[in-house]
Amino acid sequence: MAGTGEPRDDSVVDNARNGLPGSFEALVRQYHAAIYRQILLVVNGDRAAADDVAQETWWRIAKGVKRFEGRSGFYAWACRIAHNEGKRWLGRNARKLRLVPEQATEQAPEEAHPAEQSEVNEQVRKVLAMMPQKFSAPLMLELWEDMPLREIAKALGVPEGTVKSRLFRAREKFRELWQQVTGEQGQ
Amino acid sequence: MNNNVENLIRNARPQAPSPDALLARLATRGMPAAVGAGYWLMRAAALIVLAAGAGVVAAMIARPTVGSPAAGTPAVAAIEVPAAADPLWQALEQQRQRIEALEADFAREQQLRAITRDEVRAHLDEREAAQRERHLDRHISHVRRHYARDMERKLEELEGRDLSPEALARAREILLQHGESAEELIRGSYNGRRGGQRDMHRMFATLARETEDRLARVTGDNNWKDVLGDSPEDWGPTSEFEDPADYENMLNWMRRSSRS
Repeated sequence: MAGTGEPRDDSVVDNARNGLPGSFEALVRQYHAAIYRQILLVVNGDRAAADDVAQETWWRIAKGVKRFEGRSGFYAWACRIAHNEGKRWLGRNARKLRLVPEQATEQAPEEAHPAEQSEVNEQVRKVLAMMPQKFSAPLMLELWEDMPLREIAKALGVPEGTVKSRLFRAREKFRELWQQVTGEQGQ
Repeated sequence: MNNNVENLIRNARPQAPSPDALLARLATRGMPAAVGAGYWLMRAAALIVLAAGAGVVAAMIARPTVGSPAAGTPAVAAIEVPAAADPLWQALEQQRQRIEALEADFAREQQLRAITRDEVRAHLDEREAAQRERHLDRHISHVRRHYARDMERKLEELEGRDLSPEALARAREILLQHGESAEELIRGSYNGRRGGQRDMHRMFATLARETEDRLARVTGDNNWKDVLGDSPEDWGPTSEFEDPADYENMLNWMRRSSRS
């Protein structure tokens, strides 16, 4: 999951659970990018915040992975941790963000990737962030991580049929929210 | 239309940084140290000293005395070696006594630890039970509020259809029972009943499917698939964290529901 189209090793989660040498690093390398992108949504694209939240998230994963027994899918489990850590970060920094909003917006273009500078892309990410995670997670795995259906099902710990129906409903939900946010119809 | 949505989302994919910096930062935070490592290190060091001493003694016994007319004969070695080896035997004896003292200290420390550990465990058990009750109360009250709103929405939708008052009343009853059953599953998970957390996912899914089937029969409508929350995540405590206790409550539920 390190990037689009890269091969994924199914045993990496099991190895980390069993504490094999080097397995945690392999786990980070495989899932970091996908989880980081989820975190970016939660912290409204603030990359400095995403770095902090990613660190906390992986620290919690490191401490909890031995107790994780794979019932819900590693990615789904990790995303819930990331989501909570992101919310916690927002809660802690709410006052700071209110006091210096212009600093946060000034820093963003310097660090942002060119693709992120587009206003449309920002709106897309905003809409994804508004969606329930049970819909946004499979959609992002499919379109951002290029994962096939079978791997999405494994990552989320749900049957393939459920992934299909969630992807269908996720697109509907996206269209509905997109219309609310932009006023555009039919995108 | 699907392509438009897909292209929009694909184009908005943000770049993620390399994990190297993250790994370096995680490494600086370190991992918990092994308990009792100091004792075993000291013990290993003492054993090495003992082994080294024994080696020296063995070498001296085996070495012939240079310049002596009867050097190398067993009779001479038997007379000369004990005198030369005396200080070494004394050193070895001292080391042995030190190891015994260390072992005695360690045994005493273990006894003290066992007493303290029992007290601490009792205190922690008590605190954990109280905390579990608090979490359960918060969780149940959130679920009740959330579910009541959700249920009323579903019933409003049903009222818009051409259903008899009896069917509506029956649907309300089924939804109420569903909420009560889900609440019971949550309580069971906190109290460690129903085989612990092993079957939580299966039980929530089964409950949802059964209720959906019942609703489909009562309303004569087959569009009840995947309408009800069917996983522990759907029945979790609030994710709107107003205070640290809310977050703690969520973490606790995640731990309960991810443990199989």
